Amino acid sequence: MSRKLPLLARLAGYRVAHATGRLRQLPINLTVSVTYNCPSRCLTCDIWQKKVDDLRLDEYERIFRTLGKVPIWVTISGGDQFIRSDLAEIVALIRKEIEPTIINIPMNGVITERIFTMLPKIAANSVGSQLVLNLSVDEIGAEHDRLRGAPNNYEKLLGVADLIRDLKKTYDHIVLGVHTVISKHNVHRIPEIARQARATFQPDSYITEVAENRVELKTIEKDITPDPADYRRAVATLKEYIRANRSKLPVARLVESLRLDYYDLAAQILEEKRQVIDCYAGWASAHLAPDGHVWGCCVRAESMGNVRDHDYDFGTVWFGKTADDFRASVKNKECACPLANASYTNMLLEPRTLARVAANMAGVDRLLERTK
Amino acid sequence: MKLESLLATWAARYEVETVLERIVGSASSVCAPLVARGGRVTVARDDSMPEGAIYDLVVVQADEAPVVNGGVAWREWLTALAKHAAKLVVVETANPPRPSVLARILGAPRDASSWGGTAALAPVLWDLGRVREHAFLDVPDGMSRKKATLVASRHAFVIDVTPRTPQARRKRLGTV
Repeated sequence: MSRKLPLLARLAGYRVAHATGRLRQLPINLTVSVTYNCPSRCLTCDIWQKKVDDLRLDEYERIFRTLGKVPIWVTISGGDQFIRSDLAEIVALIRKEIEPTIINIPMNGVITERIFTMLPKIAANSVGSQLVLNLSVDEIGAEHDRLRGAPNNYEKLLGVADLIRDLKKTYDHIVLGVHTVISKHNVHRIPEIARQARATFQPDSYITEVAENRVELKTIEKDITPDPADYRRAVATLKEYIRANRSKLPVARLVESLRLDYYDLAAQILEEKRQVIDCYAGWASAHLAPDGHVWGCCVRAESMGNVRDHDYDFGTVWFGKTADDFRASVKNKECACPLANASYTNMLLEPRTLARVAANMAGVDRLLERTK
Repeated sequence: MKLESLLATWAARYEVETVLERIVGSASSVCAPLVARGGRVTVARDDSMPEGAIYDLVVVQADEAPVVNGGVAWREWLTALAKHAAKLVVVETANPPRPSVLARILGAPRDASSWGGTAALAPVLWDLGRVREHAFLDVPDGMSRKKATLVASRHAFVIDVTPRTPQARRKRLGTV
């Protein structure tokens, strides 16, 4: 199927596929993890311990060509993506072969010399898409450095934020974001962390993610996920901030409304440990691991197959029997998680959520909350 | 903002003492304020400057793409010119009008090849160094940046070309 299918028709197609197993499509939300290598030693992530043979640039080119320009949201994750000296070329390939609406790069800001050299090239190579550069800020100052296991990281992030602000002067497709992982280590300080991060980095957007037990991150045995009640208290302040600072621009307002709903959704999933709304990981969202394995999501990180074994054809893996088994498992609700990346896609595919988001945009959501 | 005040601000910030002003076309020099504060300004209307001459600041004023060797190789020309700068490069050009909303809906391309437009200049300027300021000139004070982008007839870029690291400094001096 080509990208030319209108988004609403495509979303409807995912619902049909989820319900019937027919009309499966390539994903609109793709995460491309380009390496597990990372200089950080975060308390919430051990991905750096994994060693694999990373896909080469020519391999990426062959894979991206098979995606039919379907993904509209591509996240380039790691490890530390900036370890790869060909990252700017990977971005250029994504832009050329996939033409997504959004390219999102979470950044730890550690390898500053490489970032200072490469980020201007990435900006130039991503023109035509919105480039969201999300700086990972889990605490303030030295405490951030401790949580991230990276000396002087906070200081370096300030420099990278300055660079991004300079890039925005000539590249109007860039968005500066700040991203906080809420874990047991910082959940009680989230209001203060959010306040200081907003004041210091002056981001265009501030988002959070729940620290989870993920196979991808080798954190299955780690005690990092915050207590649900603590999490709910923490995000209550984030919701209050959004409500008190609503944008007048429709797109920004839509994103804020989705975020408000996501905070409640994530809290409810943590509390009830079930899929509160249907999960479309494996239908609408996908993850390409650094060594070519295709996953439905990074939480389970179960391989549907490796593109290297299928002539680099993403669709062959995606529409294969193993992928169908994964989808059946997700549909049977054998898992539940608040993974933000997949959750936003799930929310777009859930009519009741969309109704709440619309109500929120119209300013009548609190009325609905009282009647829930 | 006026180009003269932009230059004065950045020259003071970077303690500029020597300036090369390269003018393409009939524009007049804008560096008088720098002379007044003791700067030594060399004005050039062609590219016959001494090999290896280095100035703290290189100012480029060019409304039209400079014609080099009979062709429009402005990227190479600008890169060569910037090699004469030790601290800053300022590029001032006409700000070409953007395609209308209707034209963009109908698929008008961003002109990424012609001189003057931000889309064309940005990758080249970021190759020279770090773009510290993109100013829209001669617009009323207080005008929003979004509106200034659309209405300003001229704009200027300030690029910091100071090497960031000891390795880069040695490379620049040719000792690596």
